[in-house]
Amino acid sequence: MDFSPLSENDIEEMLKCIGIKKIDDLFEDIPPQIRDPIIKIGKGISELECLQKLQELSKKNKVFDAIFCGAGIYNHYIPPVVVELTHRSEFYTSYTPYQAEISQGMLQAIFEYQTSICNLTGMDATNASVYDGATALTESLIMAKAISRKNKFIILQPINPEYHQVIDTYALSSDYIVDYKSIDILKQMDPSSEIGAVVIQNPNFIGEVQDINYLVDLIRKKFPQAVIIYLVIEASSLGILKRPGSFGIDIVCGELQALGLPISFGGPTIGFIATLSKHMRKLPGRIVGKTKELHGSQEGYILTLQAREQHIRREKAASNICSNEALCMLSVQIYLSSMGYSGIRQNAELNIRNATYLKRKIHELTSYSVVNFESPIYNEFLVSCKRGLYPKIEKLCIMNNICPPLKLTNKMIELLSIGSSIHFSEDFDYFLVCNTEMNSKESIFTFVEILKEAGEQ
Amino acid sequence: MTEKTSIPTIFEKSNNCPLTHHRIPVSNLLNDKLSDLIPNSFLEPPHGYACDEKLILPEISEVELVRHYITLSKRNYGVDNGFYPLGSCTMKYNPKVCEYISSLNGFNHIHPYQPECQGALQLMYELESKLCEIVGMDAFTLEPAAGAHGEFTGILIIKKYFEDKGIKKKYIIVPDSSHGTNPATSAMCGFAVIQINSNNEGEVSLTELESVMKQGDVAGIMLTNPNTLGLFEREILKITEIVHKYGGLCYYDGANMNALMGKCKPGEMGFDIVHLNLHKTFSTPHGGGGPGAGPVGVKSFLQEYLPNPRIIKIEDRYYIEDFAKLSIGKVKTFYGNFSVLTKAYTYIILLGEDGLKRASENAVLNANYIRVKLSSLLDLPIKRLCKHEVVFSDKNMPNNITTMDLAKRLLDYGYHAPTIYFPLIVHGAIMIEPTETETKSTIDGFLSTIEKIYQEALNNPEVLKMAPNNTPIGRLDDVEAARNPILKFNCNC
Repeated sequence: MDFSPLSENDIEEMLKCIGIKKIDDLFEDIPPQIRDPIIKIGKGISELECLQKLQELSKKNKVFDAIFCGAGIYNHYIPPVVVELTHRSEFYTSYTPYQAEISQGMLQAIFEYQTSICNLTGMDATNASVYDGATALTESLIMAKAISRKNKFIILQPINPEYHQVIDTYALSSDYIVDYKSIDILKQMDPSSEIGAVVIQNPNFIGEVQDINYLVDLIRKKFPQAVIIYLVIEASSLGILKRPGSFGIDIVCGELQALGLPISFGGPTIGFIATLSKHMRKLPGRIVGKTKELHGSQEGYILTLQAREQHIRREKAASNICSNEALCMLSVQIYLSSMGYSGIRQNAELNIRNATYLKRKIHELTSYSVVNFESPIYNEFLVSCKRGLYPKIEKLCIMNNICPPLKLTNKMIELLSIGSSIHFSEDFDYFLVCNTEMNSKESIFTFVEILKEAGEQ
Repeated sequence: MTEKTSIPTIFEKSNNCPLTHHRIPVSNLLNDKLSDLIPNSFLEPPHGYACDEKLILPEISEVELVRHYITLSKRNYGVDNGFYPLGSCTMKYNPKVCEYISSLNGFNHIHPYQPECQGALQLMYELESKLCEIVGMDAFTLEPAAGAHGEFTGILIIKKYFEDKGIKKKYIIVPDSSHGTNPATSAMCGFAVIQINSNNEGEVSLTELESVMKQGDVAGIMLTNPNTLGLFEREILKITEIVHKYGGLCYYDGANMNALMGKCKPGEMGFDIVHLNLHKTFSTPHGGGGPGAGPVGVKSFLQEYLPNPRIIKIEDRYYIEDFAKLSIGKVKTFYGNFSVLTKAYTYIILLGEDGLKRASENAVLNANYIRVKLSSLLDLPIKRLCKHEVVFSDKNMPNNITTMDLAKRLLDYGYHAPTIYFPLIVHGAIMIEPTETETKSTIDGFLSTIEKIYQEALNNPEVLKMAPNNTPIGRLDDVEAARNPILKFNCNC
């Protein structure tokens, strides 16, 4: 099946108008030795066959009833109204809103989204999204370099290992140097004016809600020149935690998947960067501003501050970003509007309660220990058990149609151990449990039973 | 003339106190005081006000929410609304079956760290191999989230390749007709940019290329073919040969691949690295500016540099792990924009090799039809066969009518405007890309509208200067927007 509606007759007429005999004549400027290659991908099929084939393929993925895995992608409730409205094809089949007069819908939605994100983070300005949380962080580091004119950065551990890897990749391209440190190590460091930025992930990778007030004070004392970056990967926590802007943070960035986007095997998601007014011209990517008509009195919206961008500045641009995650942005904005602050607050509280309940239950079990039992948590926590126990848990979970928690791989442990104060022992398996509002009481009980059974085997 | 209107923001439609929606239940597991779970000082006060009287988020009933965004959707223009001849962007029709499949639970409701995801891995593995076939590469990564992200990945591979070999390279060459992302990417990866001029045929000048390559510290070239004038670089084999001769690598910007599927492979043109824009060529929608996907393909000598993790197939099972030994690392969390990948995969198996080839043929046919029909009216700087798009200049426009005026007047007649003022080497460029999914009568309608606008330009130029008139809002003051940025509602709060 294809989607080109030209008939034989149409083609005949058009060729005649162009003054050529056959379609192949349109390609005669391609060197003959490379013209008309064979591509072996199979002949086209009917829509029905295609549908059946892909439905079959989709069934090879297990869709779990309950999910106890997070670690950067979070299973949250998405009200049907969000999906319905985002699927208006006036939105999803449009291009970047360069032609403002016929793109007011998307432009206004972006403006509203920018308002929501600024309000939620307590910051002054944000962009219309970047690819994901990790690239939001790397772009924030590039911003921090421009602001502080320094290229040495400290990332507080434990940070999500996926993010750690992306930071290291981007460090190959830019001339920045990154050090990973635990808070304990940070406390012992000598003051320095050489540090350009410090990154705090909150809640951190193992789910702990941190004392940001204390950390900001500490960092300002040690590294007075540093730009403080608050990284949020579980954005539903913004529904209850004190807004980062109230601590005097310079840049808030991260991932908004938790606010209205499906888990979708990890993508697409949406990165954001919010900052203070004084740094807004250093933001990468598209930004929408409000303005007036040139010849009239109505107010409207337009892409603005474009002098930062690649299509104007070429090699002098703030970033090379062009396409972003606009439709994900729309989902987030509609999600936030459908919930209101009251809704996301209630949801965040439920996450804290469900996860803390499970944390306590697991800690009571003889074969398991919650590594960060004493810390306040949002919706995740780290559990250890004797080595070799995890595969039993995984097997029982799958049998009960439960997506098991994430077992930390050797690579993850290696990354988390850099400059860290968590001691990982080779005698244990470590797994990160996530419990959102989506897991029913029954599935939580089943999960605890599974852990118990696996431990007793 | 349509009356212009502004729509209040959703914040202005909000109640001034929190609503109770009951979308989320209350906890039935743990009834401790919240402050016993998390210190009160870590928490935002529960009232939800950003400042004295302003709520953090709108509080609005569902019906009001729906009406607001439906109203906004009507003030937006997509391919589903009408013809979208936006050059360089390949705004083709987005088949609904692709949308449907990407929303299947088995694709949409799976966690990237979950066990039992063979279907997803198989889909990605097969998509990689199909893309390899289409562009003539040996290995692909699906990780990059967009074209520019793919460029970043590809240029970083080039950088690491030379660094690992201990060869110092300083420059990347881009033609003056290149996309802005090309020089921006090169700079982002730490290369200095050398821009070379096009010859008077609109193609890369071989003599200039050779003289720049001779310097010896050029890492390579970034090239689009067909180039942004819509012209096939006829000397492409010599271009890649020259770059290789002086130790450089050739990067193919796949933005214009819709011209060439089944007609010619970048790998056979001599390119070493390719990125594709799945949201262009393979019809996953643009989404108002994303999410896209910008997979990167390489020849075998570079495959160990691709981002990790890689997917491999052993017997009948698929594995995703850090197999690439010299990898540049990860460029994104997890494995790329998976749901975009499911749409592109669906599109590719639906059309197959014959359908993709016909898509490119008809895209090129439509563009050449427009080229011939319009060249009696508008100035065509380079008069020869084009590929999937055609670029006119503003030279023949009467009465000081600009490209901008023409573009804005097209909006009045219900069309999206072409890409304008790009490429930079054509004065007042008007870049038209019809794609293969339009009927002849749609294109004929567009052509006669341009003719009508041309007559207006002769007889009633004022109507063009004031255009658009029939849109929800008139031309906006972009200078004021940048001078005094208002980036959120009620920002003096």
